[in-house]
Amino acid sequence: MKKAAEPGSLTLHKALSEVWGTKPGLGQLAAVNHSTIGKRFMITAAVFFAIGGLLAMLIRTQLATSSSPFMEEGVYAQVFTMHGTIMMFLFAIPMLEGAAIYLLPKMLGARDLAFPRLTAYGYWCYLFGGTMLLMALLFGVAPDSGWFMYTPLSSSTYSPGINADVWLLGVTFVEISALCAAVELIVSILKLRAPGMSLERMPIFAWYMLVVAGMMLVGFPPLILGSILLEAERAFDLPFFDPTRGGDPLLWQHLFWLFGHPEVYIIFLPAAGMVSTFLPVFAGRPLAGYRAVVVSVIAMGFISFGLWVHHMYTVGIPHLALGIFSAASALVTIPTAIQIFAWLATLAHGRPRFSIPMLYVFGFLFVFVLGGLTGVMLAMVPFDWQAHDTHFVVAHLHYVLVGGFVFPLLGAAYYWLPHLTGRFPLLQLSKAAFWLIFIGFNVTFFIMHLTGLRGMPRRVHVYPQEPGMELFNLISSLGSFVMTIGFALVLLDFVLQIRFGRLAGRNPWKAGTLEWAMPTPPAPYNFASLPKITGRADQLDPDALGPQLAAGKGYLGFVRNGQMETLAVDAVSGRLEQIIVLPRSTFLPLLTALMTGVFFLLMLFKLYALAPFALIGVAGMFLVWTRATGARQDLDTLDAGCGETAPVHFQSRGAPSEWAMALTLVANGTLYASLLFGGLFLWVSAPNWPVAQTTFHNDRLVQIITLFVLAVALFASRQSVRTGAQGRIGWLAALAASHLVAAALFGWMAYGIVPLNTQHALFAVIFAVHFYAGFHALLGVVFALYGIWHVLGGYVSPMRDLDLRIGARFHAYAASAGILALVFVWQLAMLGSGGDPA
Amino acid sequence: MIVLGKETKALAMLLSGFLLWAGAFLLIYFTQATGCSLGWQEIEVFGPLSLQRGALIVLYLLACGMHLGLIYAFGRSDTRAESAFAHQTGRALAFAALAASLFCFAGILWLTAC
Repeated sequence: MKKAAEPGSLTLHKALSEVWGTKPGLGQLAAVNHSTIGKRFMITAAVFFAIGGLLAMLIRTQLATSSSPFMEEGVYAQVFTMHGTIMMFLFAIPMLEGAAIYLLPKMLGARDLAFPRLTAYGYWCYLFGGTMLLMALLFGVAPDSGWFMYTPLSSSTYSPGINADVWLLGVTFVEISALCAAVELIVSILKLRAPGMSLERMPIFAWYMLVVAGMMLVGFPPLILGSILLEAERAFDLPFFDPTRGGDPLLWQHLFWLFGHPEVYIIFLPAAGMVSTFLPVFAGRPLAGYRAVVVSVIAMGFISFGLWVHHMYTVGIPHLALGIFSAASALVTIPTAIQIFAWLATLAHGRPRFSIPMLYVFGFLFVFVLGGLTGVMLAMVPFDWQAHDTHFVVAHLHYVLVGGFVFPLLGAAYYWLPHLTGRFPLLQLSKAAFWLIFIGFNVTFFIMHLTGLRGMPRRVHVYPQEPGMELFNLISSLGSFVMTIGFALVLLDFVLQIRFGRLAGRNPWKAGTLEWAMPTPPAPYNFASLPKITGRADQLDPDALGPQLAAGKGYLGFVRNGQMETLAVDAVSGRLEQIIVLPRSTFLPLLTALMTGVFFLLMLFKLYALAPFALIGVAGMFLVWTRATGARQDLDTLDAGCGETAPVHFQSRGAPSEWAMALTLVANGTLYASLLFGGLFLWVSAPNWPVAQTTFHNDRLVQIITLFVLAVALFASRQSVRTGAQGRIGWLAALAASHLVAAALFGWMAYGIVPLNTQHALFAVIFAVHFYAGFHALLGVVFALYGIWHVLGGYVSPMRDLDLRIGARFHAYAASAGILALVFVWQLAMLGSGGDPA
Repeated sequence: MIVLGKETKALAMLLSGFLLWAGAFLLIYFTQATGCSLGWQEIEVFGPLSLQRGALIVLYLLACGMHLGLIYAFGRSDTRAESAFAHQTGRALAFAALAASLFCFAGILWLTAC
């Protein structure tokens, strides 16, 4: 490996910029750099926020008077559905993703995230999915069943147009980006840190984002599954949610809220992490109770999954279940309170500077605590029964989400904008903007508690002309316009700061985190050399560290063979472990996202016969991605700088891509588990079970053959990474053959259920389980053939078997999922036919 | 296939307490729903104690026992030297998870099961 001579700072900067920079013009579409993609996420999310805000103005205009002719009910339904959908899926989550993508590598002392192309692919999926939803709004076919799309309102009987399909497909398209980000962030936080940064030295924001990414990983799959099942019901008449044929609308509610409630914390926690990062800077002392905050964030991440039924208190649930969910709902306030007290203790023990970000912290604490208190009220079952589906709930959710996300986000924006732009604001617009937002918000939403308690329901475009009701609504609408002026002022303030602001210089706030140990705005490679961390990574001295790193006195202070390199460490100790060689800028993420978009459009326009070809196209494009990785010869350990050496990542155990596959399988397994639990839920709770008369035939012989084939695949998956080169090809060929046979057999079993799968949910579930197992077997064939190609191409040696190890994990998963499918179908068929399998 | 290396052990320490809570949560909720569907509340197994409540109490005690076992394992664990932070944080989370289970599932003892 050729290493350039040790250069001076400027020469090093030029050499690194040449390698890490994105080309201008059309080359921008090939950008994979985390700073570029992070900024794109944030700007796009801000645009969607403006659009969502505009829709909110339309809603408040309609509700300003009791019987306004401003919008007719169908248009109003589209407007409030899109307002919620945009704010939740196209603003809040992508904004937090963008902030994390931009900030985390810098805070962790890395040059980029672990999978830059995946970051770019996620962005394009988000942009195209969001655009799809917006186009539907422009053409008057936007979703209109509310942002949580309850069945049967969203089923084809009551929503026969494509409106609901737009939501199901568009949101699923966008969720691809959330899952990409989840995998990306977890692996990057655990592995791509500066040497010496052990777990206990991680900046607190990284802990928050680690928990949030974990929540996204298991929180989104239930909704993706629900969307797939509802789309399958609408498109192919599989009755998962139709109670007349053994389905149950409550299955949708369970799947939606299994995602929907953790979603609140997925939105809140990153914002809280930002506050935990910048509040100590302004308090002038480290965050109080670092470990207690870590404990509370992890606890919160788990407990937030145990609350989903508190959105369903009124559907008819036994007291015991209500009690469990009510207790969990109350319990989650404790870790929240621990964080709030940690912030207060930090302020109490410090010498606070009340700058603009701190003004927003005040707004956050005031609004969020009020939202939390009404949350405790709603967590209590008797009160919830009174206030359910009223404007009280609308007020509560806005206090929680705007208080818990928008206020701290604006504080964070003012804190990190000098990092993005290198400039400070000239004018004092920010204070006026804050007070307009704060007062406008409280006038708009506090009063909704009162209208809600008086019984005003959500999602209505007219309401009774009762005394006080119209006046309250008019005041609420006036408040919303005041708030909008505040947001417009913030935008103006940002534009002026970016365009005319005074130069900020390095580390203007005197912070202790690594992102300030670089010139601002940052270079595409972040650090000219990477730091060695010897203390907690939010108590460093960026002013002293920055110039040393810029002079190349840290790790990797050179360019080697024109490669983009960063470091990976042991996740626990922070010991240097690997040198990561990252892929260069490429159009592949854009093209793959476009092909993914073609699939979703074909589904939307009901061209189902063509859709599988688009999927094949997507798989083919992902295979093209692999051409940029790997080597045909073993490499010696490489110089990492600072007198240390490390192996390149594809010759290391525990490489980032190995972690990524394991995490992807966790997400995939969550989706599968949701499907299986969904089937059991229908057996337990849905009407019209057991099936009165079943003509379903479990072909035992086919099942036994399938079981045998899957057992062969499971065994071969282990052997494929244990034997020599020639043996590997044999086992990989056995894998390909066994997966192919398994796919054919599952396909045959699924085909055998048609058309029964449209007659009862039992058969629909069995069909879906067979389809899932068969689809994974097919993917197993692709993985096995790819492995053979790599072995034959000389990309595999005893040191370079990373691709095979990744493949082995998938093969083992696919085979295990298939075996589980057989057992599950056998059991469900027995239970569903009243204990008498035909 | 996944080797429990030092990294995985540290993550397991951090997550074990609340993974146990989550598992108990799902199992208890599933048992409650299934028992109601199968009419277990009508079957008396021990005086006035129904099969439904009996099964749920067994699960409750089992969950608490496993939480206590985990805390005991943290006390005896030799992994402190490898990652004192993960060990101490995991132990605190194990205590928190026990408290969460005791509080969340206490209704099993008296609330109407179906």
